[in-house]
Amino acid sequence: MTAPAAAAPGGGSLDGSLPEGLAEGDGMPEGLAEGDGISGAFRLHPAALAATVAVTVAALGLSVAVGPFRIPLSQILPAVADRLALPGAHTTLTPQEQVILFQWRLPRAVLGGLVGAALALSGATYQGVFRNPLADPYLLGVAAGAGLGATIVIGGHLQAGWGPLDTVAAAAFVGALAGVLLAAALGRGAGSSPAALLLAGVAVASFLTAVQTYLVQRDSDGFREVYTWILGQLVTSGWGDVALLAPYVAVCGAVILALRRQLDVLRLGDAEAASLGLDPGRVRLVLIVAASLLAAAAVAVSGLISFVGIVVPHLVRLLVGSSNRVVLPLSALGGAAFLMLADLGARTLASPAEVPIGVITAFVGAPFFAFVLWTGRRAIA
Amino acid sequence: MTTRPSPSSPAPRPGRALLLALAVAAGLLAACGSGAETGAVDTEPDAADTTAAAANAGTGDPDFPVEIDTAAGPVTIEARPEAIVSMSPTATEMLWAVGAGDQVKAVDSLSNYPEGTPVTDLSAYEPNLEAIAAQQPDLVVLGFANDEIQAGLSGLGIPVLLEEAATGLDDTYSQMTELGLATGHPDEAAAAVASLRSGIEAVVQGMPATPGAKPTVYHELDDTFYSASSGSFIGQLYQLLGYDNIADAADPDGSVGYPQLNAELIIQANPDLIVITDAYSYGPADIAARPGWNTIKAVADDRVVVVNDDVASRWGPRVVDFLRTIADATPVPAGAAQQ
Amino acid sequence: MSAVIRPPVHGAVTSGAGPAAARSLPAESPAAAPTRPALSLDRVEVRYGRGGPPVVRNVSLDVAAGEWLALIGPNGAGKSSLLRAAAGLVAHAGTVSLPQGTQIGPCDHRARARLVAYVAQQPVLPPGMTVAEYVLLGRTAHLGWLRAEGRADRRAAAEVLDRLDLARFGTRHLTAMSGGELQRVVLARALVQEAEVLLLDEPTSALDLGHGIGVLELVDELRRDRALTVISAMHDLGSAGRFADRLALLHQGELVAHGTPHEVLTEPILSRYYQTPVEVLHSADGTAVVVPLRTTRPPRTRIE
Repeated sequence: MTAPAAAAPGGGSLDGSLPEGLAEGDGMPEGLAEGDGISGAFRLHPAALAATVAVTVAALGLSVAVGPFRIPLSQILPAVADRLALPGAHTTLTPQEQVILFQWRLPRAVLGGLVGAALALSGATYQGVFRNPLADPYLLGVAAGAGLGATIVIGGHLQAGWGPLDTVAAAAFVGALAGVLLAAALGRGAGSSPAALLLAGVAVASFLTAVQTYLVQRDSDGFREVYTWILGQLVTSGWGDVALLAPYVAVCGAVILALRRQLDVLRLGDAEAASLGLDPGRVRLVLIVAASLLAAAAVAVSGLISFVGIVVPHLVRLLVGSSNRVVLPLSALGGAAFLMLADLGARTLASPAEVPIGVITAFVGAPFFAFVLWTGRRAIA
Repeated sequence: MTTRPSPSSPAPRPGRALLLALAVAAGLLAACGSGAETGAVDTEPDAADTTAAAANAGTGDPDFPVEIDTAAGPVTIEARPEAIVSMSPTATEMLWAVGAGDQVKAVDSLSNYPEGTPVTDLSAYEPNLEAIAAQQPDLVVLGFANDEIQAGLSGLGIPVLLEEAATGLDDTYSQMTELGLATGHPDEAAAAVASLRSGIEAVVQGMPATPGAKPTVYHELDDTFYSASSGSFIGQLYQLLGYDNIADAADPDGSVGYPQLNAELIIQANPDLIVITDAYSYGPADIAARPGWNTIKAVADDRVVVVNDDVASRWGPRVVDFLRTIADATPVPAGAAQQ
Repeated sequence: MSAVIRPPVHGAVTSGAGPAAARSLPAESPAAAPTRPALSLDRVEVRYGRGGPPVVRNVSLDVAAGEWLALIGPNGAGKSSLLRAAAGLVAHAGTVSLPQGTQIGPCDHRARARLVAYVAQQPVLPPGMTVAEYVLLGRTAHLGWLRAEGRADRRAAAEVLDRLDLARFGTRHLTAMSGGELQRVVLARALVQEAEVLLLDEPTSALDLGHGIGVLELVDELRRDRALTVISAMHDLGSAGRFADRLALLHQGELVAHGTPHEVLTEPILSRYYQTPVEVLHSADGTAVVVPLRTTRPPRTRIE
């Protein structure tokens, strides 16, 4: 067998000796051992997972511990234990302190975590589906579509529903889906460069926002509620909001994570993915629906929080790896941590006044976006 | 139930801020569009106007011509205006208060007080030069500074009075005085100001003495806890009544005016009085239902007051009504007698 | 019209034995024995866009198991489109029968991928993906919707990596590989698919002479080892003649000639369809060497 010999660069032979200047794997032995990279392929390293979980838990702890109402740190854990009715637990917190801890801070932190997970996961999914590192729920017209859908239902007094299922959420979802599909269709028509999709997204978002603004201007009476919906924020979160969002995050998150392997296949492009046995259209559709539902649900409870969907998945790719089996779960966790910390900033920077959380995420996100734009030109073919 | 957001509404919550931004943007566009047209017809109406003014001056109305010193500079009004267009709900209320109501030809879409105002679809948010000019006004009162509209109207020879959101009661008084002068009702304006002053004085005098700590108030602009600190016009009214404003913790130097508060802070501050407006569809029961809010004194003592959003957001003659509502809701400390 | 037009009767033209002899190699290929077609195209037609002109017209071809068929033809003849039709990647009229005579619906990519592996001319190389991961993606067709690669899949990938001497590159990023290495990596991915038929679109177009030949020899070896059937679109007529058992010449989407390299690589056929005069020489081992002739007289003086 001489064939592959010629294929080795620099005239290196195939009998085990390496061409000069090429490092060998991780210094592992050849063959079927660890060094061939097979056993580690697509694997989410336990250390990376543990670190991300630790950061997320720490962010949750910090969110619960810090606030304008001073609750002694040493009292929080006993209070939580007492709340969970653990044997021997006893809290010295006043009822008021307990209300603040369990009815305001905790749901706000949990909701922030859910919204962050939803936005980051949907961003990572869009980036995978569109093979575009700059895809993001807000840049693809998803949020604008959700806003328009909600505006039509609220403005037309068509609200009805039960629990997490209601006409406003449904319309927001349809609008979100319409926005992203429109952007995808336009973007495809405009060419295959990553910028084409984004420009299409910007165009779609502007158009949908214009329609929405027109509707609002026509009848400013009924549309206070629209703005409350769109600009909803974490400031007023309670367990009700958590109950509203959690089912969407659970179901859509499960669907997306279940398809993380397929999303890796999609990285090869439609034709090659199909040749490998994947139905790219079907996978893409399922993932876009799930990601849009996630984004729409997040917009419904927290309003427009930008850049989460772009910052977090990229940080994961930079720090851990590019496989979607790594990026998706770590983005969900990291998104939760990121938004909880951003909300911590929103609550404490001007305490006791609030800073809009979007200001914080944009302050971190916009420079990061520029960085991705800059380096991404090389990273994407 | 729902009230139209008034253009003088002080709330800076993002919704309104966005609306405002859109309005400004649209206004600029509209103004740019019509600017060219005014340029084209610039000279002719100017000439016509001056002759009309001269003729009017000849009839000998002693109050005219009058030059009014406004914050934006002196404005000269040649003759008693008979076709006023008010683009500010507060100014509309003031015009009626100084007795110039029957000289008002048109008001913006939100000028809903007093009864019988000639409401048009003119938008105070997005003033449109052509739409204003089409009313053929001889005086226009604006509530927001808008260079394009002001320049455009001046170009048409129409005097413009700018009566911006007041920062204190003195502004209210001076704006009423200005409007009285401009419309030929200086004496009635002086009387209206005097009566407003004494009305306010009476309410303040009637407040129960608070020997101990001052009572505290939380003025809620919307359900995301935007509030009004002492740096705002309405916050000064609470100060006048001897209240401590819990929003001042989030706006110590009064520079923000309308800070967004954290729910924890509100519960911790434990205000004696909570004031909400009827701009939204929630009421005292919804406030009481918020987790932990039942521990707040105002909720426990049933002192959650709903005020008319228009009254609470305008700086016109009805501030005395607002003050009276608040005074009536003020808790009487044990042992203190109403004076 | 051409020297050898494929008769309507399937399998009449070739069996495995003929081409092997023609190549004067020791005919030990396992493909020599069976004569059933591994892949059969029947009146295949491909158009892009509704109402567009067909880029492949009415092509019928049988490829025997173990055989190497090269699709040749001038630019735009429809070679890649025909390959893509065979791989089920473009909509087409007519029928494509896969090994064991199966016909697979246009959307059943998974079933098709177990029978046919396809290597694109310019494979997508996702940034940040390692060689091992890339090769492992070849197992897609063997996995259910919710299943990840198991031990057996990883072992299969490791074996192929080892076989193609890529084991030491497993953790390397694709983007850090050289052209020749990459072509082997892409081949490895196709092999891991464990499909009987291997479709290669211009497998050597990005490679220099030495690396190109290296890849073709590897393909040939693998074909023998693994009883693969190979169909490749090829630009270089010399390589096509040397490696393929049979050539199919496409011109403007139509199959205009097909047969052994000897039968197809003739001066009249090539000159006609490539629209340039050529001379066909024969090397010592009998392989055809195609030499283009200049249509204009070359200038005699050279600028140094």
